Amino acid sequence: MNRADPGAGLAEPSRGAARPPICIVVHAHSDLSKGGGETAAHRELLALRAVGHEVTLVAATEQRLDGEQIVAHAPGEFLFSTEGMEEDRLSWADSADRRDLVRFLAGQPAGIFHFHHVWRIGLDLIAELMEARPDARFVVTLHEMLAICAHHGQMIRIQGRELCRAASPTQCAACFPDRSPRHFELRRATFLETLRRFDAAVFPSEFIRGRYQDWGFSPVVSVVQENYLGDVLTGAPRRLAVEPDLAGHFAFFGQPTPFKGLDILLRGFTLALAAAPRLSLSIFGCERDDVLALFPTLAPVLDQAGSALSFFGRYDQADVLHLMQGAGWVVVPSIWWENSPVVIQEAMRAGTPLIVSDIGGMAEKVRPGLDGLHFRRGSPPDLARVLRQAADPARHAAISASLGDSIGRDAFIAGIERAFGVTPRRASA
Amino acid sequence: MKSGDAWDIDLAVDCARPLGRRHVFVQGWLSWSQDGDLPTPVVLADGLPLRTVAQAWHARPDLPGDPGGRRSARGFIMIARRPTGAVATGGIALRAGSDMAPVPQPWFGPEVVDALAHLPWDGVFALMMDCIRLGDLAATLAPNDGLDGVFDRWINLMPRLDPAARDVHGMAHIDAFGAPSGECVVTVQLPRRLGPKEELRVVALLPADGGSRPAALDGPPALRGANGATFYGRLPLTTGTPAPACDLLVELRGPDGGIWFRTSPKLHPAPVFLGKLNGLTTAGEAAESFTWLRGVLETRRSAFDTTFRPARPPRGDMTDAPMVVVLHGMDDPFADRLAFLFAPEIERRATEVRVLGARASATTEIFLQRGRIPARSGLDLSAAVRHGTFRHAMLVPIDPLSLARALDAGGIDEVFANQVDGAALPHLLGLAALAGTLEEGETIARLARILAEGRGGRVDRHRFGRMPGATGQMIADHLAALWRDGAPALRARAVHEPG
Repeated sequence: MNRADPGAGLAEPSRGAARPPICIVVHAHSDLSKGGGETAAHRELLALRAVGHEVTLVAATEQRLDGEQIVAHAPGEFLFSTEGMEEDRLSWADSADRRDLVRFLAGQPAGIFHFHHVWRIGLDLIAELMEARPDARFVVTLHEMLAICAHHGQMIRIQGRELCRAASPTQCAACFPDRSPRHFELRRATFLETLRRFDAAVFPSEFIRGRYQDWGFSPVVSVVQENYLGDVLTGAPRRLAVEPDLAGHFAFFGQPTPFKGLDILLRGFTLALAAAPRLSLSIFGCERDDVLALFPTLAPVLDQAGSALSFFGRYDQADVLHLMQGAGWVVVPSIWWENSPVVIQEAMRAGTPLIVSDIGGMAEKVRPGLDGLHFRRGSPPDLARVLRQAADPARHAAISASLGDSIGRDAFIAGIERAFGVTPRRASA
Repeated sequence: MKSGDAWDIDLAVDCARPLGRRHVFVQGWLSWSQDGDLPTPVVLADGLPLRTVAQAWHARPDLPGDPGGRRSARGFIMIARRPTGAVATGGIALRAGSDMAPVPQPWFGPEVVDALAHLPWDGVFALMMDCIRLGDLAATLAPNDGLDGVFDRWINLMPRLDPAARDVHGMAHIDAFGAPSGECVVTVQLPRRLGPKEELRVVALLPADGGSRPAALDGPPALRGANGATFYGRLPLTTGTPAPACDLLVELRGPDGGIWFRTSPKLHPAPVFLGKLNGLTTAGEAAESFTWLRGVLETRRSAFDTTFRPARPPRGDMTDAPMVVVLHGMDDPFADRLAFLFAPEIERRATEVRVLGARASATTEIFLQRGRIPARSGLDLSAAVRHGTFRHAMLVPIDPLSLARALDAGGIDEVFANQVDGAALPHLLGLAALAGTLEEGETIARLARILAEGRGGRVDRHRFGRMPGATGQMIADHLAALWRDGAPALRARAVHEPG
């Protein structure tokens, strides 16, 4: 890695220019981790560059950087160490590290700073950078609800896994008995004040925008648009022909976390299988042992599913469309809200209809009867009912025909430029 | 020195000494026929009677008995005052009835301090109480300069007891505690019923020049219970705030003797002090305890009125007074983070920041790193009052929650509206001693809430813990009233505002 030169002075003020340089600041680099936010940020970098914007990307990393605070990672891409941050990664314990980073960012010739997440970046860093660069425009993409919910931003109650529909200091303190309602009131004010200082906010779904609005955040400029999948996936061909045999073949893509609902899917599938023995389910992203490690009581369920259930382990992201096109339906059974799951975008891009929980970003992105089917969140019997319905080849064909596509590059660029307050560019070919 | 008397009075002087330049100390005994009244001894100077300013009687079991049992004998201690400017030339004498006992010159008997150390404690205690009561005898109490501090040696003989001693000196237990307001409580419980003529009296021993100076404690008569009594008293208001830690000299005395001891009361903040007092009184008869406690609270209220009633000194226009922001309640990581966001605005308005709370250091660091205005952790209210640190400033207490709510409401001017006159901090200290905890964070927070309430904010419902029962409610109301009535006087005003 090369040591980055933080630069000595501020750049010329760029606000008001038609296409000022952009600096994307993100909580991780997609070369080092595969989360949705960092992937979206890097795809934005490439898309903006592809249409002629001058863009740099500065990403956080938990990796040790040999004592350096900031290092170059790729042309116009930098990594900074989070070692000096507080344990919750919301502010900096080492103010010298923060100052170095602020100096580096302020020295970027950027007229626009676009933040993806504030976690691993620091509320204090954002405030200090805004103070150092009053000439710049600040935009944030809120991929998750961490500002609203201390439970990893999931808005799901810690005890009982009930859905949480609105944060309040007393309710939040009930989830975290070691913290007071006052703590949550202060937490909210700190996040809210930070977010209110941004010139614009991008929400990847109407659902998450609504949650932030209910919470008290109504940005001056608000853009709701989903993340861009990148030129490679966006340019890949969709499935054209509908194969009737695929109607009864379902697939799950993802990790077996407690909130992804894989346990619900496995139970629902087994129930459906009892009535329709020709159904099948493929699990991509984990092995049988991974599932049992998290849900040990599912062993009889897996045994019951027998050969109708297959585990394919981890997959290469580059293969995702191809894998999805091999399934009749992609199932997203999450028991939490999911703000804008990339799996849904990828399935739409692949041309594979979806079966999703009837809440949050899933319910919003998948139009029932057009893009897929909904089932009652957390209910294996209802999922079983929907799986049986979905196995009808005629229904599968109809929904496949009306299935929407993921956002294209031009639409994405137009939306992001609106957030950036720059003159919209003419759509490229 | 002994003489007989035609009225059948025997009069004896054991000690006669000058006490300072204006008093004469005489100690002796007399005996008289049992069918006569107790004779009154008088000190004469140059044949003229001197005014007796303090006198105490005590038993003299050491005197030879009267075989017929027809005579009484008692010891006496007295202090008489000499006329101003008069110099005795014809000698000092003592007279009782028609009997006269001349006092040999130059004086007679041991030094006063030694004489008192060897006299019965009931008599010395009574004399000491008289000396405390009489202003012109105050010099006898101070431990300095020659004859002053005449009770010191006797005081040093007192047994020292733990303030929560059990089964000692014939008592089941004692409990002695005090408050920074100069209030003290002593309760004595006996393993028997309290005699109808037994009395509990307490004197404070204030630290003075390496010794101690006895001082009166004002308050209602002790509350009597079946097996004991509870004394409440407060030091004179001139003692200062917070009042110095003092020892207590306790006497439980009846016709057949008494108990004397010295103890160091455990100090508690005023609410805890009153809570403990409430606990003691609720153990007694309810109605009587209620009435007694109400008397105690009236004493406190009276002290408050004396302290806070005087008009505040006129101040000039405070609009341009330097603003010291007091960030209090900084005890949460998000309080720090909020302060970080808010720091430029504070720096724009204030000349200094003081930070209170468990995370005060972290918050102070924010301002130190920015380096725009001075910042320090802590306020040290007592020292600030002593040195007049903020007397020309305007203090603006801001807590993170108020800030959070103001930000939510869309304007932060509101959080700067609570302005405390720095010259009024002695009043705040007094109020905190009388009705608060003296913990600076708690004190500032309470004041800020009440000032906000006065400006239409929320009513301050922060009580000082739970206090059960009717007396508990009375105490809670009393404390709330002191703050409610005392806090507004601390508010900084612009010159055009009414006082």
